[in-house]
Amino acid sequence: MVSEPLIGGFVSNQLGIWIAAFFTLAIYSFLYRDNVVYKFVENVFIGVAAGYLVVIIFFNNIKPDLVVPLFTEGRLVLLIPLAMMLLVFTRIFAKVGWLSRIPIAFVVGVGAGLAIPNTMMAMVVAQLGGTANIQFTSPDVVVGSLAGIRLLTGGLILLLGTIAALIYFFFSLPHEGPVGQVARVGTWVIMIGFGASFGYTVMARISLLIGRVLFLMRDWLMIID
Amino acid sequence: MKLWDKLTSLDRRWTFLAMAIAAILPFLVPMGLAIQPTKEVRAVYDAVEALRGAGKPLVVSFDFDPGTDAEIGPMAHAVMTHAMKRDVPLIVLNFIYTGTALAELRLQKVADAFPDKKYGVDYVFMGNKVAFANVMLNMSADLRLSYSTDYFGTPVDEIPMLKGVRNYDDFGLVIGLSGTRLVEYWIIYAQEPYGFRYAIGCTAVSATDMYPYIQTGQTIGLLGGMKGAAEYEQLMVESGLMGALGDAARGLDSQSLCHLVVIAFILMGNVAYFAGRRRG
Repeated sequence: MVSEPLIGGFVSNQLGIWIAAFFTLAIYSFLYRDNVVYKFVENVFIGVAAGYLVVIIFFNNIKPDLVVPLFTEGRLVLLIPLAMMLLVFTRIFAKVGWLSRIPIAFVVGVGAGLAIPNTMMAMVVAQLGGTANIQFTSPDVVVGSLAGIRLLTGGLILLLGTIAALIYFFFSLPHEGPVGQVARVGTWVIMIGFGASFGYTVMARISLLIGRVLFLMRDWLMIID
Repeated sequence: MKLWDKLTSLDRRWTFLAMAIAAILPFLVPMGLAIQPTKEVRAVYDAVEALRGAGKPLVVSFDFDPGTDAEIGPMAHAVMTHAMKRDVPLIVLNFIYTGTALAELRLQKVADAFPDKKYGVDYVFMGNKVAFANVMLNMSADLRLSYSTDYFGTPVDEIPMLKGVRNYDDFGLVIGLSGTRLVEYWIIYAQEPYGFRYAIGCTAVSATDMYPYIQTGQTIGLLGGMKGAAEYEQLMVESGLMGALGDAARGLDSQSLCHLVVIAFILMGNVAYFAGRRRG
């Protein structure tokens, strides 16, 4: 639906846009000082998010994966997860609360069993392989050319930077002499990494502000296209 | 009170005001700064382009909520538009419940621009699943193990475009779009064990953490934050797939001006601090 201007050629006539604009400005009002409107909006957000969670989880997960197959198609094996789900709620009652540990233990066990080997392979083994296979030359690049020097330099920085950063976290030897000097290089590598992360973080936060500014100026006030 | 003392005790609300002005001004007076696509963004673009005529779908894991929509929304819009323009079948998944309605809304907005595209034939929305690890593992065998229906309750076997689409072998490319660790979970539970083509679109905050996955080849490319989205839009415009740059590119002028304001305040604060210390 296209929003038509409301006041003097400006301002949206859609109720949803006005509500979103009010909530946006109410949240930003905290930047001036804490106030009752901000608190109201914050609480509304939490309430809406909780209600929304229940609806989405039920209609996208519980209904198609449990209710329909169990009660319509008669897949009785699903009584097991249903029982596990109900056991979680025994926490409400002190006397039988210990029963909730059964589904929690199941979830933790399955979760750990799935996560540990897969994480080791994807985050440790693959990264080790990636570091060991750093490209210093390439068949596509002439050795000694600008591209070749760039590839070689990049590979060396990556390799030496990784080793230096790892030595910084190696505490079985005192950080003195050559080990200390390499660890110091490692500190610089880590600081550069933090600097890049900080720069990206600033960019991310500003992006969120820009998104809201665009919404207020275009969709609500309609002063830009 | 000396100037240095005033600067070090400046009410922080002045900085907020300066940032607001810097964010608003470029929308009224565009600066039109150049956008240079990086090789990481170009790699994602080329991977989507390569799906043209391949008959395999693009799978977009739409795992962000309104809180990060400003950054990831434009890249989702650009990627889905790209798929529609090139007649690449599109499958949209969602693992974050706060983004489910947003995913539907964004997909519908893109689809509305292509009246010839039909739901279930050219694109499909599978809805939300919370147990993402199970779904990712199940899809190595058959997506039907996790999805009996789509978001609207249509049985998967009655959806024309999903006939013959069972597992990762049948996917052309998977793009994870998220401001959370879900982009990494895709690597842990799916890409690394099953080795399909995977690309990441994430918020700028997590972009630096994603570069190691490019080095290992676990992701073919990276769209990092609003800048990554703007670069993708630039590539779309250059190839004639979009008539004009989108929201991300529009926001980059504001981004640049805000960065200048941040740098100015950092410099001012440091100069004032050291000048004040020298005076004792």
